[in-house]
Amino acid sequence: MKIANKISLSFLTVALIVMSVAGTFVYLIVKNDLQKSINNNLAVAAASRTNHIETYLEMLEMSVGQLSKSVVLEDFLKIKTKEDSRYDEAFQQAMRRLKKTREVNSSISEFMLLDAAGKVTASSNESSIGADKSADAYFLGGQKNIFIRDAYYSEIVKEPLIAVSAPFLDSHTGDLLGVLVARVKLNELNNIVTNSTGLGKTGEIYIVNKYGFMITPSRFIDDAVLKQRVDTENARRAHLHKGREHILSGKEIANVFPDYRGVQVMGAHEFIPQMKWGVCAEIEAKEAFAPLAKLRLLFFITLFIAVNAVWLSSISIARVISKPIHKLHKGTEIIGSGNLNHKVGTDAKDEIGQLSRAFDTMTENLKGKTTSIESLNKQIVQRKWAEQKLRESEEKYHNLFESSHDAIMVLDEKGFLSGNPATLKLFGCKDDKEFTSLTPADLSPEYQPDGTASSAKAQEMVKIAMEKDSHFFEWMHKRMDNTEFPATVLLTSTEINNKKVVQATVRDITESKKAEDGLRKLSLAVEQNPACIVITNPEGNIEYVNPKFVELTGYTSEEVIGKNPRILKSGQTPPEEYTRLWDTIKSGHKWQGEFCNKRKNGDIYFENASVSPVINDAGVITHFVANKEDITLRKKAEKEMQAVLEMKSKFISTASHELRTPLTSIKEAVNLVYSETTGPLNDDQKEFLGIAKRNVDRLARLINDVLDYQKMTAGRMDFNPKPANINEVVEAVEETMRPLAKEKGLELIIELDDAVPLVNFDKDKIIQVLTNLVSNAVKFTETGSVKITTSRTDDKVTIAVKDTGGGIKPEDMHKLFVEFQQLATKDADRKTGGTGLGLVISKKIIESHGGRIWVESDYEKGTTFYFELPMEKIPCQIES
Amino acid sequence: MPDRILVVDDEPDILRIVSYSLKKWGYEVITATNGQDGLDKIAVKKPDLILLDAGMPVMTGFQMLEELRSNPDWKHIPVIMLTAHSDPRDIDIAHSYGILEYVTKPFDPMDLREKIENAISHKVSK
Repeated sequence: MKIANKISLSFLTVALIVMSVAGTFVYLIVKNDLQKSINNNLAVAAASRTNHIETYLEMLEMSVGQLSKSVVLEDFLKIKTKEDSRYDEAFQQAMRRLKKTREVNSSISEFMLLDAAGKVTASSNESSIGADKSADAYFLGGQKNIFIRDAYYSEIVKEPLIAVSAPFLDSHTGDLLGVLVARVKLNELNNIVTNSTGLGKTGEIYIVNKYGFMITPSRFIDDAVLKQRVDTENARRAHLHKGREHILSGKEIANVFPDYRGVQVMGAHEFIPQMKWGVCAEIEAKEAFAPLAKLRLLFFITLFIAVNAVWLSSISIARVISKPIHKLHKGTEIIGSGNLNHKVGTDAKDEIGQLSRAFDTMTENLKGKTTSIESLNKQIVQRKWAEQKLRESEEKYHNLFESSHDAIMVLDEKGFLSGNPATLKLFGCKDDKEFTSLTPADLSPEYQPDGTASSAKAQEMVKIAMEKDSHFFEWMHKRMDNTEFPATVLLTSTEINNKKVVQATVRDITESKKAEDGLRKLSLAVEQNPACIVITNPEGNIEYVNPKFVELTGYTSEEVIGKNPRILKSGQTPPEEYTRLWDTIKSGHKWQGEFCNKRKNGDIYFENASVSPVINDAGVITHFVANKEDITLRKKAEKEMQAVLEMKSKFISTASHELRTPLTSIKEAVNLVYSETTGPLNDDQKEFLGIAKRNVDRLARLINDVLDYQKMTAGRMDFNPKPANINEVVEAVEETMRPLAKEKGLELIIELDDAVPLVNFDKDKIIQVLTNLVSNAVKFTETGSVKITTSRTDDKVTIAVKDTGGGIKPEDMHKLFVEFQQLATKDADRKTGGTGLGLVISKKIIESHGGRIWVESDYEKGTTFYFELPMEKIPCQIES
Repeated sequence: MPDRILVVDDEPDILRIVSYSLKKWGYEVITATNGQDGLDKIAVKKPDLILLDAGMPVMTGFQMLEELRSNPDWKHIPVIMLTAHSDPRDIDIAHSYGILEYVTKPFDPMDLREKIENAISHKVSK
């Protein structure tokens, strides 16, 4: 900023501050004084009117009080009835008295004389006579003392009144004869308060009664008396300051407040305790503060003039100061640019004048000392520095060229000009001489992979590099031993000895090509993988998803990259599963499990996922790779299959149970007839009922077996395994089967190993198995024996049932443990009555015990069934 | 000469019951316990009608039908299937061998008698 501006701005600032402070100060003092004086005026006005009102009220009381001592009226009141002969005369006299007194008191509307019962007996207005006023406030209030009733609206005279009443006492006895009432118009009171002399254009005084209503007219509102409610600051305070002292001290409300119209006013108040009237004096703030507005205007005009004056004078002062400085500045600039002959000196005698003259002396001295040698020296130094730089740069470049691992060579259209050691090594050249005898085509196969001839393409590449300054491309090269390798080539056009040449940097990319090819294969595998593949960073944010993911989830790659896979959460995978997942993969292990996830459109799907961490050489996890297979359909199918199996199983068990009921009836009915309880049977009858009986029994067995089988396959068979000795089971079965064997003429042999240990098994179930095996053996054996043996190995007990029957054909062996497969016996005669479920059930029972059942058979010689039960460690044995 | 009926069934109880009834109705009865047995019996004495079960060991009823139909001497012997197999596929297969009737077990004896009588008279009229 220029000095001149600085100076004038500071002047102005100071002037403004001083004037504003002074102005504000004066304004505040004036305002305060004005406010005080207004308040004073208002307070005086309020006080004087109040005095006036009180005097007026006293006068009223006095006039009523005097009349209440009237002898004429007393005489009249003492006459109790109209029948009295003196009544008429006394009445006339009383009436005259009342009327006369009213006439001299212009503000009194009516005088009424009430008897002791409150009835009007005489009045200045005849029409009132006879009215009952016993309930009226002025009657009740005026029985003892003089009473003034607050302003009220009279229905008779149709205007607001106050009433003054006084007791009428017997002048001798002091008994109450009646009450004298004066109804007073408010015009006198109004005259007192509405005289707005000294209150300007908007000042007013009014009375507010104890109920907060205006009882004198408003200067601004018509018909306000007893209708306009006044709930202003002023009125409230008037009723609050009830003491006479307050009035004398003159209270003002310093501040401005809204009056009953809502207009901002200043005000003062007084209070008349006798009537509980508040006298409010108010003036509109706008009028009250009019002088202040004038003052303010004056202040701003003064300020404006002063600011301009200061501005103008400060500018001229600043000019005077800055002009010589400016001149000096110009002069020094001219000298600075080399004109040492310029003079800046002035004749001024002040400090600046001295300074300028000293400048002139200084330039004079300088002029003589500059020489041409100095400038020459400077040129030499500059050239030397440039040469040094050039040498350094050449050396640097040569070193780079020689030691670079990249093959760097220089060539022009005719062929190679030079190559660094890395170049010779790369192409397998003996020395620089051999290399410089070659052209790029000599070091390339005949054709490039795109099919173009190497020689033509090489020339084209060089041409492009010359035109564009540099060119980068991939090239297939050939070594001196004719092996080929892929390379990247960077050609840069440059100039050597004013001749355009090209510098080439060749890099063998065999390795990275291989890696790239490998990578391409892998990435294709990932891209085309039928499973979802998601790769995240270690924080779990998605970096890659394959197309299958996009297809399955409905999210595009752009939508999910950078997000956390939790956007897929359906809320149906238990949270512990996620915790387990993170614990596993963060500790560097592979995690496998199932997720229940949500597609973008909200559909739920299931996936079988495996998540593995990718760990770099430093052992740090760099990524997580998730491989997920959509198993929604499989899950659904499994679920449906489960439901079908469930239904089937339920159906079979229900049907079997339902079959039992009719079967029982048939069985018992047949038994009854067969046992000839119903009467004797002939041979044929006996025979056929025998057939019926046998087949009913068979059916019952079949149903039981089906139910057993069903329970077993549905996993609903109850097992009660207890430690027991298997030999006991064998003995029990031998006992029950012995009669059957004997009947068929077979020998039933048992061979028990006494040392078999206790094994944990369900005794009933194992008896069922063994019985089945032994009865089969007996059934299919015509001659010989059935032998049951027990034995033990280290950890199991084995039971064998060996028969000397027909044996099983090798091709039938696989049918043995299959449902409803009954093998043909040797003689093709099937009187076995089996159900085709016995062995199946036996197998299930043994397997449920953790054991094994199998068969060995020698066709036409006999069969041996084996089953083994594992020895479990019995808890009590462990303790011992 | 009473008409001769061959009953083939692996259930002895069925054989006994059916042959008892047939004899009561005035037929001569031969029994066999499987398909092969049935063919052997036919070779000895050719029946006028065969009551044939389906599921039997050694040789099933269908296999026996196959043999019967490929033998020119036997191919016209009328056959009534009497079997517990009620699968429509089995019924269809049986009809492809040109059987007369397919009766499923359990059967109504009166119904069976009627069918047998029809079959015999059919053969006679032919």
